[in-house]
Amino acid sequence: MTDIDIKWLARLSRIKFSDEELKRMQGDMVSIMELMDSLKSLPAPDDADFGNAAALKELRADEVRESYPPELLVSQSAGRKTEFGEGENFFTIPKIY
Amino acid sequence: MRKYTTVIGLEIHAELLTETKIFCACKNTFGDAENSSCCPVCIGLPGALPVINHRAVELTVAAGLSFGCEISRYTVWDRKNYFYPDLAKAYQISQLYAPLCIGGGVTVGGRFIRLNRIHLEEDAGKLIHSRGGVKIDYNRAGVPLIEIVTEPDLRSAEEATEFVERVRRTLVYAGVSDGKMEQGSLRVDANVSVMPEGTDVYGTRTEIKNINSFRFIKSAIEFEAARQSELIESGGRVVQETRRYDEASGETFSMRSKEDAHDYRYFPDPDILPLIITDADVEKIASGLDESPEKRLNRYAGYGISAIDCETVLANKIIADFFDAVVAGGIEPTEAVNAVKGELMRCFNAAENKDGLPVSAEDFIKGLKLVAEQKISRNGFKESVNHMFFERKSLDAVLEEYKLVIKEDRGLIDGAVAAVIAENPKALRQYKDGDQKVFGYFVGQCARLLKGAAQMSTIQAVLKEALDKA
Amino acid sequence: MIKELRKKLDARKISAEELTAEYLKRIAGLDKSLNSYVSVNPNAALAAKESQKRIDAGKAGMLTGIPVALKDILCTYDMPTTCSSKMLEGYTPPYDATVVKRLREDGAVFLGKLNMDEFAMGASTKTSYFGKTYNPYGKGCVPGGSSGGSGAAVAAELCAASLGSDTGGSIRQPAAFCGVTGHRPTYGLVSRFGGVAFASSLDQIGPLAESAEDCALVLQTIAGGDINDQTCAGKSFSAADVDEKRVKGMKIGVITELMGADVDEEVAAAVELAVKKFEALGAKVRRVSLPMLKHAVPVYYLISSAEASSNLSRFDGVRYGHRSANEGVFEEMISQNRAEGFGWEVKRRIMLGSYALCSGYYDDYYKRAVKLCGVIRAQYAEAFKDNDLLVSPTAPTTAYPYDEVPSNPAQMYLADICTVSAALAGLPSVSTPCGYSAAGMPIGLMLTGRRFDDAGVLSAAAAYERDFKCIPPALLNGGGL
Repeated sequence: MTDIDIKWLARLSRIKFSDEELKRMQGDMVSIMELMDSLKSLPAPDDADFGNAAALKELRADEVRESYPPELLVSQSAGRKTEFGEGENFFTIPKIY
Repeated sequence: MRKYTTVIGLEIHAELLTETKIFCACKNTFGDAENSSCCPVCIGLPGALPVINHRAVELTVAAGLSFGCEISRYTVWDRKNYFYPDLAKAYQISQLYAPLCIGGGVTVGGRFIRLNRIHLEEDAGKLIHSRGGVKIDYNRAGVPLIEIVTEPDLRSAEEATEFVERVRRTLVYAGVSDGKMEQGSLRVDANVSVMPEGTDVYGTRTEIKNINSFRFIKSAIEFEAARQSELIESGGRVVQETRRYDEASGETFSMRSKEDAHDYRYFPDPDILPLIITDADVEKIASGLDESPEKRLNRYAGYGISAIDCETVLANKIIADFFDAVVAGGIEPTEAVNAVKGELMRCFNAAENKDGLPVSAEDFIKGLKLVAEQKISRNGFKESVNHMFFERKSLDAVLEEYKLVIKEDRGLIDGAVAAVIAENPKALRQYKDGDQKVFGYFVGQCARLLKGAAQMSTIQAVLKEALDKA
Repeated sequence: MIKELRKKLDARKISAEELTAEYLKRIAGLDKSLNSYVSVNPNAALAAKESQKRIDAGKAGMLTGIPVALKDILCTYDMPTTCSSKMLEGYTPPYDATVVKRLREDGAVFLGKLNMDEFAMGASTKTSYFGKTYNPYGKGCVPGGSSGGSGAAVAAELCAASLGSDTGGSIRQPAAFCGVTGHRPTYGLVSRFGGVAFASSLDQIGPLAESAEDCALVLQTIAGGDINDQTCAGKSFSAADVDEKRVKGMKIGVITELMGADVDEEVAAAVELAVKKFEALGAKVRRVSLPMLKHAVPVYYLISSAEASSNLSRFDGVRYGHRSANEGVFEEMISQNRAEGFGWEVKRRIMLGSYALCSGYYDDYYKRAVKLCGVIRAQYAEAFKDNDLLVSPTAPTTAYPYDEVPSNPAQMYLADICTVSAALAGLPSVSTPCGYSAAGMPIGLMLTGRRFDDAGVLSAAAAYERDFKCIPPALLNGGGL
């Protein structure tokens, strides 16, 4: 795994790493991928068993169930609340771009 | 400048008319207070699991049948992984590898536009930008969406607009979606490219997003096609990118390339079992479908109704259903269509709420029959429809309240006839001499005097009697 | 033990409040050195009081008044659920997991939430943000993982039974290391709703307790269909179907691939002895080979990490969870939140999982692993044509000191060789103690059965346990750790 891969992978995973951490992670990934690559030589059939399937009639009926109180759902969010009005139940983030 | 052909493919998203969201039993709602229709599943809390809604699958199959698609007998839901604040789980459950519907198409202006697929996925929440930051409302998160993807078969902005209207109409008729672009229950993204006229070398396409209203479909596509043509002519290259349509300026703008690191890492969602659909399932859904606009069109044409009148009636399912009811109630189709186009639609077009009709087909039919029996005048019928529609009263109540029934006062008729005969001695002599045509003159004069207070047949009978006696 | 406690409670020999108070006292005394609990339930005494009312009214269920503890991966609306991660420090869910709800409804008393490897990723409990849990058998050893707290608490009698979760061995291996019984149910027997997801196609929630019988009693309460989990098959489980006599005539296969050179001599010897015991009980034992099991570890890590990378994407600090003090644009903010909230092992698995799913690598890694998983299932299915149970050690070694946890990740992962394949195949699998090393550390025997034959598996374990003499940790007799 080259340098570019690890930085791009970190961005894809949305995890910030320091330079030393990136180096360390790269080393770990090399060791891990060696183990994963041991599978390369094994024959992998196309018609492998993929498990259960469901029938249409087994699916959930379209009946409304009571939702959760919005205050309860929002209460666990650390989003800034001071900017917005009393009694508002939004999740908030500072900015996107 | 060389001439370029515009090539368009569309991705149309339509929200489904289910009671609940696609993966949880929260109400599928619009316009409610923020985060008031949410639960651990649609907020993406740790430990929550999706449970797919039976009706959402049914409606997707209904849509597929309406467009002539092949319905997959084994279908899978996949996770589309990306990070964005309106996506609670940081993945959207969609379908990539084995969608519910494949192929199909729509005929527009004599050309068959192919569909690639229709698949079922979940909607994201809504972001509200304000000065203090971004507010997130997940009421819409988890609303079931179908995505209709076309092949790049469309060749003009007009054709694309008509295509969208056809699709919208079909979805409404099938009861799949209410197709309201202004409420966001129908959304259109356009993939646009240009190719030199006469060649078949496809150009690089761009994706146009944020077309929020029906009337902007044409302008957005036209702008983009022109932009691309001019760019190529001046030696530039079209970049494959996502562009945003801006209503105010009528132009498209490149969206920031935040999309660089987009690798969606699709894989089958292990929380949702693959679904097996049987022939019996498909038949059951097909049998529950209302007659499609195309089938109705053929039927109306068979009645001898003009193509333009057909389109007028079919444009709105509520009107088409009403028309069918009136015909079923015994009114001759060509008469029914005139009455519906005239009296009914006059009111409907003026109404604010176009979700239903306050006039029943029974009352409408009854009114038309009364006109045929000359118990009310045509004008009286028009008035009564107006009152029924806007005051929500029954026909009987309206006829009573506004005294629209012709009550014949024999004395009044005799008086009018006598007066007309007395005032027209010359015409009387002509009649007596055998001039039949002057009878019509007498009838007209009496009718004018009586101002709709008598049926024509009565006037004629009384007049004849009086003339013969005179 | 649960049946005895039930009798005592119903006979009013002890009250629910007294019983709970006893456990709380032991926790206060011992857990300082074990650190098996992340949080003790401040309302435990209150819950015991409510349970006592039920007992008084003659309406006690099997678990009414029985003090149990829950791995901190299970959502509880009245207690924090942290997954032993900084990311969820202080997070209290607004709902109960289905298994929690069912235990609550049966009147079980929750003593608290148990320590684990962060987000269930690990086999030692070393990765917990809230510190190490120590194996009650001492010598600074790991209790195993990821349900390390669940194993240690049962072994140290700090709860009558516990719930853990098993994705690749996380119930069975800590049960083995701590000398208790731990059962991984058939995939789909127990609802996953409310258990924070690690690998959705592999996760199962199950019991750890002093005996197979106790495990069966807990399993009975939590198993069964759930409208909130489509993968929960709707099959039920009854403890009454656990019958030691079933061992007679059972065909038992010892998996050769899991008795190889990487297994400690002492462990292999204990398992061979256990197998002879089964013969004495009337079972027929022979060797059986499932060649693909040699490769089960990379197959497991590719599948589980891929699913985990997706399951853990929701932890971005927006709706809940850790939010960094630095607030930048969205991408910056969440990358920082995740950098601060997740430990190293979790980050590693996310990176591995993302990689395995990337376009260009998907076919070679994730898709390939899924196909090979299919081969593993097929080999198990083949083996179960002629066998009712498959046997192996639960782990290649006994519990080792914390400073001996391998630093090389691949080497560390390979120690999961015995447990991962049953999880990949979705089969019921129990670990029960079958011996002790010369150093006194417990050795675990693992029994795997056909899908939904949890009763068969637990029956065999119960039969074995009848004559097996457990050696409790010295800790319980006033000995040190």
